Amino acid sequence: MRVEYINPFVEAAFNILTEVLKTEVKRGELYLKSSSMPVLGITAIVGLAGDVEGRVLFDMAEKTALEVASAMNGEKIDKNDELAKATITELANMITAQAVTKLHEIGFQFDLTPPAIFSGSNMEVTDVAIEALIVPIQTTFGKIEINVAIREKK
Amino acid sequence: MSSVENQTQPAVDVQEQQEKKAHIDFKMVTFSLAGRDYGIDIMKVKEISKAKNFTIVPNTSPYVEGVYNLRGEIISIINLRKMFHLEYSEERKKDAVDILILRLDETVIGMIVDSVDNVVGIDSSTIQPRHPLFADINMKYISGVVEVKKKLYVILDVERVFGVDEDDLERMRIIQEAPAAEKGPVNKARISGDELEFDFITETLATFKSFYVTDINRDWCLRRLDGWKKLRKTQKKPVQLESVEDAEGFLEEYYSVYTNMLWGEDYRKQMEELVPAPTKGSIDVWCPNCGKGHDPYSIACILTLKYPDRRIKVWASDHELLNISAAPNLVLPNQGVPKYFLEAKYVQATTDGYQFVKAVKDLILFEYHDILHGTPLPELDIILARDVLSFYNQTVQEKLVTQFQEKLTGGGLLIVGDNEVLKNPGFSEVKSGKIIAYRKEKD
Amino acid sequence: MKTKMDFPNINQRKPEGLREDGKAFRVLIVDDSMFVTKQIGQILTSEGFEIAATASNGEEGLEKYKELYPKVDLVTMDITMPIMDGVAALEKIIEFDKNANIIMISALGKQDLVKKSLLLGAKNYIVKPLDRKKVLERVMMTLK
Repeated sequence: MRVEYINPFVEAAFNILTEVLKTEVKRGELYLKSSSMPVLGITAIVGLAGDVEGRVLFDMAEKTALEVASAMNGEKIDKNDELAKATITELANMITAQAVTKLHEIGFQFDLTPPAIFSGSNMEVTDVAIEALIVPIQTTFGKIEINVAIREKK
Repeated sequence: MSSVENQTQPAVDVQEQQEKKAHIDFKMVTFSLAGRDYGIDIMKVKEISKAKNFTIVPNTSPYVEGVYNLRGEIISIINLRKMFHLEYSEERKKDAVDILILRLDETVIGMIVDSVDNVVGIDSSTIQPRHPLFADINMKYISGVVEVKKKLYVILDVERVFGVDEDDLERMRIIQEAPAAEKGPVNKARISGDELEFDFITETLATFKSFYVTDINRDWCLRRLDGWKKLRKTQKKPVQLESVEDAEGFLEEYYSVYTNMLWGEDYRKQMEELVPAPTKGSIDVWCPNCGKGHDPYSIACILTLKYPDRRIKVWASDHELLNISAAPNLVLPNQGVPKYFLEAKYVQATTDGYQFVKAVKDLILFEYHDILHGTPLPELDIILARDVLSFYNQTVQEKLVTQFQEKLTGGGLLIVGDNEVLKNPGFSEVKSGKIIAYRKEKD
Repeated sequence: MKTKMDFPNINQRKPEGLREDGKAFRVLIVDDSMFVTKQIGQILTSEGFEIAATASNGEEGLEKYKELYPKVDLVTMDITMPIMDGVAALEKIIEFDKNANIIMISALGKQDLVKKSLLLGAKNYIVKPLDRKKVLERVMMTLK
C-alpha cells in the first residue's frame, strides 16, 4: 500500500476512537496481510473510490461492538440491534472521513461510498491480488482491527 | 463412473411480449448462493440440471466436488460455496442439488448453486459497475451489478472464476506456504569438520539475520568463512556465530557497494552501460525491498538524466514499515549527495540536509508491501534487487527468481547483490565494471 | 456500564431550548443514521428543545417540514442520505419557506457540499463527530 496512505488512516482511527470512546486507546504494530482472514464478529465496511479503488474494514468482536455502541450512546446496549449497527456504522464513517480528508489535503482525491455492516460468525474476507494493511487498535472494550486495502486504478 | 439420477431441462426461453416492452439485450440465468442473487450470461449456460452422487476424484482442488456424467461427457462439478470461501456443509444432501452447466470456450464445467431461479432479461445499459462493498466474494469475479424488480443481482464473470487467473492464485498460494525443510547435512557424523562448521554458520545466519545460504551466495560464504576464521583467531573468539552481533559481523562484507547510499559517479557510469536502450515511451523499474529508498532514487535520477524524453516509472516497496515510511521524505546528509544530483538540481537543501525535489519523487511509487503477496506490475525493463534474494529461503528464492524472469521484458535487466550469483537459464550474464547483471534472453 | 454525561443543572438557568414565551423550540432532525438522530435528539432535549419529528432521508424531511409548518423552528440536515440528499432537500425546503432555519450536519471531507449548502440558504453547519458544546453553540447561533 502506498506509504502516504498509511498515516492518515492510523491517525484518524486513533483520534476518532480516543475522542468518541473517551478512554485510553493504544495502537498496535501495523502489518500486512493477504488472502483470507476470519472476521472477528462484526465488520463495518466503507468503500473507497476515485483515483483508487478499495475498502476499509472495521472489525471487532460482537462484545466489543456492543460496548463501543454503549459508550457512544451513553446507555447500555446489550444486543446487536438497529441502534448498535447504526452506531458502529457511524464510527466507521467518521474514521474513514477523517482519513480521506487528510488524504485530500496531501493531494489524493478519493471519495467514500456509503458504509455497510456485516455480522455473523465464521465469515471470511477474501482478497486476492489486493494486499491489506492491518492497524490493530486496543481499547478498554477489546481489540478493533482496521483493515485497509487500497489500489491505484490502472 | 457412477450412474446419476438427473432431470435435465433446456435453458428457459424469455417471453417475446416482455422483450418488446423493454429494450432487452442481455439475458442472464439467475441463481442464489448464500443469500445473494447472481446472474450469468445466458450465452455461457449450456443447461440447467439437478444431480446427486458425484464421483469423487482425488488429488483435485478442494473445490471440485466430483465429476458427473452428462450424457456420456464427463465434466467436473465445482462447489461454488467452497470456491468463494462461503460456508458450506460437508454432509451430502440426500436430494439432488441444482447445477448450472456452463460452456466456456471449449470447456464444459458444472457448478453447484443453492438454487437456480429464472432467466431474467435486462437492458445492458442498466448494469452498474461492481462495487467494493461486495466482500462476500472477491470483487474480481464480478462484472457488475444490476437491479431488476427490486432484486439486486451480482453478475458473475465466469471466465475469471474458472479461468487464467487461477494460475496466479496458485502461484501466490505456493509462495505463501511455509518453507519446505531445507536440505540439511545427510549424516552429521560422516561429514568433515569443515563442512560441519560451515553448516553451523549457515544455520546461525538464518536464525540471527534471516540470511539463507544457497547457490546464490554460497561461493561468497565459503570465501568469507576463510577470512572470518582468521579474524576470529586474532580476536581470540570462536568461529561460530553466537549472537546477532556475530552474524552482523560476518555479513559486513556481503552488502553491495552504495548500500543505504546514493550511487556514486563510477556506479552510475557502469549502470548506464547496462541499461537496455528504451524501446517504448516509458522505462519501468521495480525495486523490491528497497529499504530506505537509495536505490530507487539513484536509478530514477540516472535514467532521467540519460533519457530525458522518456517517462521513468519506479515501483519501490519494502516490508519493513520504518524504512519505507521514511523513503518518500528521505533526507541525505550534505556529504551524501554525489555531484551529479546537485548539478541536475534533483535535490534541494533543507535544514537537516538534502531532500529530493517533487519532480523526482513523482517518478517513484513507494509502497509498504510484502513481495510474497504477489505484485501486479506491467512488463519491466529493469529489476533492481540488490541484496534481496539472500534473505529468503531456497524455495522462495527460486520462486522469486522465476517471478523476476516472467516480469522482465525480453532484453530486460536484473541486478542482484554484488555477492550474489544467478545460474538460471534464460538469463545471460553481462558485466560493466564491477556490476554483474543478468539480461533476460529475448524470445 | 456508566458513562459520564454532562447534563447541565437546568434549575440554575433558563435552558437554551425555551423561547421567550416559555414554549420549547421545535426541531426537525433529518438524518439516515439512527445513532446520529439519537445523539442530536439527546443533546437538544436535555436543553429543553422539543424534537417535533425525525426523518431518515431528504424526501421524508421535506414532507415532514411541510406538515409541521409553521410550527417548526429549526431543521438539522445530514448531507449524505439516500433517495434525496441534504443539499437537495435544503433547496426544496427553502423554496417552500425562505425563512427556514437549517443547519447542515456533515462528516469531514464534505467541505464543498457544506459551502454549496450555505450558498443555497443553510444558516450554519456542524462537523461530525458531534459533541454537546458544538451542537448547542451552533444551534443557538442560528436561532438568535
